[in-house]
Amino acid sequence: MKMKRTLFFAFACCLTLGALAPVGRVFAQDIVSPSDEVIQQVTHSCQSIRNSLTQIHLRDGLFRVNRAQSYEFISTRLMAPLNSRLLINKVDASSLVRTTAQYDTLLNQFRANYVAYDDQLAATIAIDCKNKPAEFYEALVKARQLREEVHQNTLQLNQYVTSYRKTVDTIHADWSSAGK
Amino acid sequence: MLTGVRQESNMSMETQPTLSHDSEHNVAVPKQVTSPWSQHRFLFMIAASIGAAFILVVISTSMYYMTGTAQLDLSRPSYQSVREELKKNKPSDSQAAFSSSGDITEEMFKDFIKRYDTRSKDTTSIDAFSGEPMSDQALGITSTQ
Repeated sequence: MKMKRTLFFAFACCLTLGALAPVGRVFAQDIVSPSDEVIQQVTHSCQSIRNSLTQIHLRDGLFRVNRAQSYEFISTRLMAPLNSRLLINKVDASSLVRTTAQYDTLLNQFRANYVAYDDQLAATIAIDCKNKPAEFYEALVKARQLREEVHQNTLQLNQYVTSYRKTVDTIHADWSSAGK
Repeated sequence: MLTGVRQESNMSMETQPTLSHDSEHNVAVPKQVTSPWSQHRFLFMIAASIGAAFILVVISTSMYYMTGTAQLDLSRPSYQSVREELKKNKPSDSQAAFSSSGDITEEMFKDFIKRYDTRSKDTTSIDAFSGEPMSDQALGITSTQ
């Protein structure tokens, strides 16, 4: 019985390792080891780089608050009220409701991605770049990737904002042509 | 007969009554034998309060960081300059919420489009979180060769 359990445990471990191995390879491929020159420059300009990153961190905090407030305002105080007003008046607003739902999902994704980015940037700043330049640079590259995800989210949200506006124009034109 | 009563156990944390002699009425009256718990009840209460407060602080602080609220909290001392900038860039009150009730009219569409355009222009005008400020070049890491 004990032997069976041990064998089962070993088998489960092998399966887990097998499943995780490709993931490890992907991460290893994503983060390229910094060259000697880069390491040298990071060590040399350590304090300056950290100051710049701290400034970026502060500015991003401001951007995040402003952006999230604006995006939320658009969703809850403009999109949602118009959707319900159109529905109450029996105007077909299904496309607007769909866009709003996609927008809200993306907004949640933006929030989650920002948290991941912010954590990574804070962790990067905390690394002693004078003594651990390679580790610092790898963390910086990861922070850049996460920042790019946040950036993509903002671009997609902007697209939804534009798309919603176009749909409103279409509904407006249809309503006008219907002679209401 | 009553004087024969003895405290059964001094292991208990509760106050154990024993009997002493009341000379005026010639009867035995209970005498309170107090445990350390009841002797220092106030100190225990203070310690328990501090302990409970500490546990609650640990829970709330971990929630503060785990839920991402820390990233949004600009009231921290290091965000002083950012806070001032936020006040300057505060959106105007003209962008009030659109009403969800009422009829569909031409004016309603115009009103909505005006509000929507004003807000969306503010939101989409700046390309936030672009990779440029964190590039090697911007941070001074780029090779000079």
